[in-house]
Amino acid sequence: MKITKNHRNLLITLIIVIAILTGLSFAWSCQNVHQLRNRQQSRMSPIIMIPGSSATVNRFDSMVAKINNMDHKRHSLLKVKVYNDGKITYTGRVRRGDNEPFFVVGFQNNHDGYSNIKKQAKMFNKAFNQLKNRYDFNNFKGIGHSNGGLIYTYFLEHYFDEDQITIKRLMTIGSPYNFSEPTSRRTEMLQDFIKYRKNLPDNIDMYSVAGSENYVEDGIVPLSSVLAGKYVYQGAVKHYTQITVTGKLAQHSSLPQNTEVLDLIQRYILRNDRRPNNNGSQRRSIQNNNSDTDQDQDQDNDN
Amino acid sequence: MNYQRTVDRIVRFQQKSFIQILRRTMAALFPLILLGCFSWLIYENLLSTDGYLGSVLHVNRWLPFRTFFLALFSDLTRVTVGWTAPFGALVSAIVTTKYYHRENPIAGAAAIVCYTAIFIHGVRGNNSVVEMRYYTAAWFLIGVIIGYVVGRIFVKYGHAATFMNLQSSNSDVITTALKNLRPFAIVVIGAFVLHLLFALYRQFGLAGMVTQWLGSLLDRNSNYLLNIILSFVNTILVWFGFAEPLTATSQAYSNEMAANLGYALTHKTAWGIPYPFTPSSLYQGFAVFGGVGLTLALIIAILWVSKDKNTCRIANYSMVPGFFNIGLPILFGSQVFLNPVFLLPFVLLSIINILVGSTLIFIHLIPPLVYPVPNGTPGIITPFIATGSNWLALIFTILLLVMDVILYIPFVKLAEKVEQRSQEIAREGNHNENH
Repeated sequence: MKITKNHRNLLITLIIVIAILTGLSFAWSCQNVHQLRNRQQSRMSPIIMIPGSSATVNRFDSMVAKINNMDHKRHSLLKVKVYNDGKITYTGRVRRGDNEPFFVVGFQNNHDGYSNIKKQAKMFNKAFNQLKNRYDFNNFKGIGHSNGGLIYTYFLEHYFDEDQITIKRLMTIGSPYNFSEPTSRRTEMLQDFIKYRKNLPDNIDMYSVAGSENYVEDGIVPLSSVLAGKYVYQGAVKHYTQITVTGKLAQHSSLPQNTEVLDLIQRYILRNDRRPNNNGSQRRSIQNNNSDTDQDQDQDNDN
Repeated sequence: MNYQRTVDRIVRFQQKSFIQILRRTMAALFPLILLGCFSWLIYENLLSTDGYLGSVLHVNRWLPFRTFFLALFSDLTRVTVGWTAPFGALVSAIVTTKYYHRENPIAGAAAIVCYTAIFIHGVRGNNSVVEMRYYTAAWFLIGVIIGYVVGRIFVKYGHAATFMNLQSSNSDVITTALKNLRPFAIVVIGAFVLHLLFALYRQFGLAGMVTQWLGSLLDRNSNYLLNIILSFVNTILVWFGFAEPLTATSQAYSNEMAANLGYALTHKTAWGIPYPFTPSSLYQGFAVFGGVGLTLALIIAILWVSKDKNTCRIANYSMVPGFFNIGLPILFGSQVFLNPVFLLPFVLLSIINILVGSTLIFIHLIPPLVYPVPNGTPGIITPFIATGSNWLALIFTILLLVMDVILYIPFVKLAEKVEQRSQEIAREGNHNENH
C-alpha cells in the first residue's frame, strides 16, 4: 500500500494526540497511585464534629479538653471555618503522629431552618473534600451536636460518596430530626431524610443521644423529635442505638459537656484499645442494654 | 464470484423497507448526535470531577463557574443524546410515511407521543418519575421500531398531509387533519396499552427481579468463559442498537475490583492480585477503544482507506468524541447499527482484544489492570493508567489498536463496495422508470 500525504498527516496527528494524552495521564496516574497508597496506609482516623446552629467552631473546645484529660491521648483540635463565599480558614494544627485528631467544622451561616441546613451541608462537603485531601485519612468518625447532626444526615444522604473513605461511627447529640414538631406531623426535612435514607452508608454504627430534663424535652428540643431519628437510621445503617441521658447537665446546650455524654463518646466513638469493662474506675456504667455494641469495638483496627 | 455475491446479498438486505428507514433515520440524526456528543464530552469528561480530562487537567482547581457550566452542558446533553430514542421514533415515522408515498408529519408527532407515553411513569407514590434511561441512545432501536409501526399505521389508515403543499386551500388542510384523527387515536390507544403493560411489569417488580437474577449470576466469582459470552452478547446487542444490558452489567464484580485494588495498594505491586482476570477491567481495558465495538479503530480505518469525501468528513468529526470512548457519532454517521458489513469486526474484535490482553497478563508481559481510571479515559490510555503507568502496557495497547485498524480495513472497503453497488441499482431503477 502506498503511503500518501493524507496517511502521513493522519499518523502524525494520532501520534501527537496519543503522546499528549499519555503525558497528561502519566503525571496524573503517578500522583493518583501515590495518593491511593497513602490513603490506604494512613493510620489517621479523625473525628469530624459539626456544632449546632448559632454555635461557632469553638463550641467543642471544652469538650475536647475534657476528653484529653480523661484519656491522656493529647488529641489535636483543628477548627475549620467555612465562609459563605466559599473561603475556608483553619485554626489550630494536627500534632505529628496524632492519629485521632478532632476536626470541628463551623459555618459563617450558622442559622436554623431546613434551607440553611442544606446550605451548611453543601459547605460541609466542601470542607470535607479539603480535609480528605490534606490528611489522606481512609476512615473517620462523626459527631454532630443539635443541628450539626442534621447537617451530617443531609451530607451523608446527598454528598458523601467515597470508595476509599468510610465513616465508621456517627453520634448525633440532641439532634431534632423533626425540629420541634410532634411526631404526628412530620416536617419536610424529616420526610426528605426518610426518602433518601437508602443513600446512607450501610456500615455505620449510629448513636443518637437525647438529653432529657423532664420526661419530654431537654429544655429546647422535644425528646420525641430526637427519637424520630429512628425513622431515618434504624434499618438503614448497621446499628442504630438510641441513648437518653438525664439528670444534671442534660440541658440541650450543655450536653457536650455532660460527663455521661463524654463517656459515651469515649466508649463508642473514639478508638478504644482498652476493654470498656476492665476500667470501671473512671467511668460510670451505661445502661446494660447497649453493651452488645461493645463487641464491635474490638474488631475495629482502623485500617 | 463469492465476494460479489456477499455484496449483492448485503445490498438486498439493506433494501428491505425497515433497514432503509433505519439507515435514513441514523443519517438524519447525525448532526444532533454529533453536537450532543460534544456536549456530553464537555459535561462528563471535562467538567465533572471524576471525568478524565477534568482529572488530568485539574479543572476544578482553576475553572471559574465550573458547576454552572456543568449544569448547562448536562441540560444540553439531556435534550440531545438523552432524547435520542424519541427523536428516532419521530424521524423514522416521517420517513416511513414518505417511503410509502404518504408523507405525513402528524405521524412523527404521534410517534413521539407514543414513545414517550409507553415509558413515562407519571405517578408513583407522591412524586412523578420520569426515568430518563428509556429515552437515551441505548433504546434507539426501540424508538425506530415504534416510529416505523406508527408510520405504517398512518400509511394504512391516515391521509397524506396536504398542508405541506402551500397551494392547497384551508378547508382541504382541515379535512386532512380530521382524516388523520383515526390513526392518531389508534396509535395512542396502542401506546396506552403498552404503557399499562409496562406499568404492570414495573409494579410487580419484574425489572428488579431481572436485575437480581443477572446480579446473582454475576455475583459469584467471575467465570472467564461466562464473561466472554456476556461481552459477546452485549456487543451484539449494541450492534442491534439496543445497549440497555450493557449499562446493567457495567457495575458487575465491583467487589473483585475492590479486593484487587486493596491488595495492590497494600503490597505496592499489581502482581499477584487475587482476581487478575476480572472481567470489567479486561473489558474496559481492551475492548472499548472509542466505545463499544472498537469504533476508534473503525474511524482510523475509514480515514486510512476511504475515498468518499462525506464518509471521511463524518469520521473526522467523530474522531474527537471517539478518542474519549463516545462512539455514537460514528455509529450513526457510518450507519453501523444492524449493518451486516460491520457485524463481524464489531463483535469479534472486542473478544479478540480481550483474549490477547488477558494472554499478555497471563504470560506476565504486562501486570493486571487494577488501578481505577477516571470516567471517559481514552481506551488506548486505560491499560496504561490501570497498570499504574506501565509503559509496556501502553505499547501493547497501541499495537492492539493497529491490529484492530488493519482488521477493520477490509470491512470498510466492503462497505464502499456495497454503497457503490446500491447506487448502481438505484441508477438502473431510475433509468428504467424514465423509459
